[in-house]
Amino acid sequence: MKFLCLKCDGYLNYEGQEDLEGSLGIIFRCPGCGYRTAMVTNPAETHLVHSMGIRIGSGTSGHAPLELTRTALDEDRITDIEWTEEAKSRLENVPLFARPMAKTGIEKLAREKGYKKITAEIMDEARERYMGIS
Amino acid sequence: MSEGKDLKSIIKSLEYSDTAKIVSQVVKQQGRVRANMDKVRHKIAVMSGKGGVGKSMVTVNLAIAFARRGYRVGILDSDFNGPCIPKMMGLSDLSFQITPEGAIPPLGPFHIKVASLGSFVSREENCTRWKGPIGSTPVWLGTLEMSVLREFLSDVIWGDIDYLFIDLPPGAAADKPPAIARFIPDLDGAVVVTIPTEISLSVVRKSIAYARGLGISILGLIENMSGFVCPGCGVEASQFEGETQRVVSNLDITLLGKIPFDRNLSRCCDRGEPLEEGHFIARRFSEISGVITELLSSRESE
Repeated sequence: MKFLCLKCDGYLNYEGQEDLEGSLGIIFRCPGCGYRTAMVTNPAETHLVHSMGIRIGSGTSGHAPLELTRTALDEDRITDIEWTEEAKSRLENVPLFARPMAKTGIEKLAREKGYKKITAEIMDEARERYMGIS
Repeated sequence: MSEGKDLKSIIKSLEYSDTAKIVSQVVKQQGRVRANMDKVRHKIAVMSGKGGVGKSMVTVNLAIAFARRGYRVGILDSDFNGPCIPKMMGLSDLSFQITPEGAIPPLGPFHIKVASLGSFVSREENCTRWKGPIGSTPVWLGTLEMSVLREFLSDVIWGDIDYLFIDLPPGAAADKPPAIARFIPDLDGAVVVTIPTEISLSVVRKSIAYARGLGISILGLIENMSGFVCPGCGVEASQFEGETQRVVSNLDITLLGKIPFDRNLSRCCDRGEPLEEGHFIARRFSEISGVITELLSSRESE
């Protein structure tokens, strides 16, 4: 798909993209006049293209082994880290927008330290490391 | 838009470039599969069309029989929804090592390389579940599963191995497994597994016909659950009344061997241990591997 700048009679260039939870926001820019526009992809089409292992945009750099397999599998199912009920309950107290980042950070710390299960104590340790709160 | 011009004339004057590089991404995907699969001397699919007939058990024991003959062997478990090869190979706790060069598969008995989606699932009771709406939509699911299969072919470091056995999924429709088998470049052929019941033989017949229609060579048929060996007296008795021999004759394929029920076989599969080399079923698989080896070498010499 191409977009045409009707002022310059030239194609807009791909500038970047943002993940919009299912669909993508793809930004284009006219190299002549600098006009920018964004296209929001249809979530269904986005999933179809993703399921073919195709990167949207000009993202052909650096192939990662089993990238599609690892990214398409439900993340909770590929993790080797378990959460205690207490830890799960504490995670739910983290604001929704920050929860994925907090979960990733805590699991990263657990992997580094060789923990197989996240407990409230490990959450405290992570808080201390990332936020300097003890 | 410039005065006096229409879209058609503007586009004609512009040079089109595929900045999304979709075609080149697809070409690169195919190139990686080809380069990796070129190192594998023989590729054999194990299929049935009918579920629950023992494809995975046959795959594991065939692989072990070939490895015992000194061949370098790998197993690709393409049953994404019920992957059980890791457990049968004693690899439930091991996964891939992801390196910049590729994914190093865990090694089972006799250094057999095992690639399975089961290696990514942390707990045995977990089923394979994909993110987003992909997993719940058959069209996307089919596309995704084929793409995952492609990644296993292209990204797993199989190295220079002699035999790669591909354990195909069961399919309610007889056409799904052959379609997957066709996706594997330079496939030597398929070993078909059945049990001696008319129901199984009926589905297997359809699957064989479909596979042949796609140009897949049928190396032969293995009859599993072909009887029961009494642990007390050692006498082998039939359990079912299907006529495998008649089907084999009608379809003009080789009956590679018959595998009866056996407690030791079942125990070894559950524990993830190979059968002892002297066990009569291990010997049967050894004979089957001999027949397949001869068949493939006679083809090579033609």
